[in-house]
Amino acid sequence: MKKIINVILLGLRYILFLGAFAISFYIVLSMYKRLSKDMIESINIFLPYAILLIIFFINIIFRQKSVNSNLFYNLTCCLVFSTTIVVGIRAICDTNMILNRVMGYNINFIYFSDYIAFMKILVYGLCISNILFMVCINKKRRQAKNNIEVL
Amino acid sequence: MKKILVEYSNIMAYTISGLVFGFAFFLLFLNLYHYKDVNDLYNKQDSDYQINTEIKEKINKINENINSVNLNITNQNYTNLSVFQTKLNICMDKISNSKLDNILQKETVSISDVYEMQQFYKIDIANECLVKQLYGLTTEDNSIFGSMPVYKSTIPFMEDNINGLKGSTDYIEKIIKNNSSYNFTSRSTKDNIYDQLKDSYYSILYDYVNVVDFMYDTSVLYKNMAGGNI
Repeated sequence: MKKIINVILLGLRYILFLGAFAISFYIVLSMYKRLSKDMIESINIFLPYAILLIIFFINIIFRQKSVNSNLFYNLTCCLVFSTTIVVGIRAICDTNMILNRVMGYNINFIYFSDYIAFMKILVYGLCISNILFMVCINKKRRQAKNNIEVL
Repeated sequence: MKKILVEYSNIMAYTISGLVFGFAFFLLFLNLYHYKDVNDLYNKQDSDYQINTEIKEKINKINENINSVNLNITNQNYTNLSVFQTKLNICMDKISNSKLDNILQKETVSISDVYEMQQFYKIDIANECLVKQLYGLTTEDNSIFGSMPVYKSTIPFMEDNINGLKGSTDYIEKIIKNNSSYNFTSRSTKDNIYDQLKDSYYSILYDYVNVVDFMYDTSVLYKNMAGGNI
């Protein structure tokens, strides 16, 4: 049962990651277009996503079980990305937030930019905990090696 | 340092994950709660429909007053009165707009409807009617009231009413625009959002009723002037 839930959460983690990135990229792109700002300036917003993507690739390539099979970490990832998607959808679709129509682009940029700082904190948090879980694996592997050598 | 990091990496990883989990959980439900707050609907009372009927009846009376008198070309104030009539007709076109009528007919009102009403009041009624059409009549050098000394005393009445009505809903616009902020919601924030919806709706509605009353008085004034009851 735990394995099935973990596999589902692992799959969801990647899907929601793409969804969260796509929706925030679309909103930030529209926001910068409106302000006539260069997209390169938005690099600090997407830097945590890039770092997390690299870490996810490392997790996949090296088949790091203690990260990929970590139910709590996968659940946290799903929650973080779901929050970003919910905020993004609200910024685009919630017409009862009046700034949505006042800005003239049918996207509530002010509402979303309030969330950008939180989004960065959350994604950086995922990166750091993922790295720490990786350190954890190496420690366990080393201990296992030492035990084999002793035997 | 490195040793401590390696030793306690598992605990630290779970601690950071836990903090991220808690914060994300809080933000997610905060947003869902804010969504519910902002999308509150106000169910109208039966008395509100009565107000709508009264407004419609009054608008019909105003139109009757404006168009009931056939201006006689031999009237020495013919030009001034026809300008006055045209201004009143333009005003009535703006005031009896179907956009507002649709909102007034609704059974439930959302904050976006109230904002729509406020924008209609500000742009169509305050700017297009009160300021562009009627405010000019209250200036000292206007010829309409200047040529009819008896009606000169109505200038302060009109000026006072227009000044009172033209910016009466501006504060509502500022309050409603703040509903995109979702920071730390509480019971008082929720009540505040709901009160904004209900209070703003009635505030704009009663301002609209005041404008219709003012237009009625002005149409009676026009009728008396054009009818020759100087």
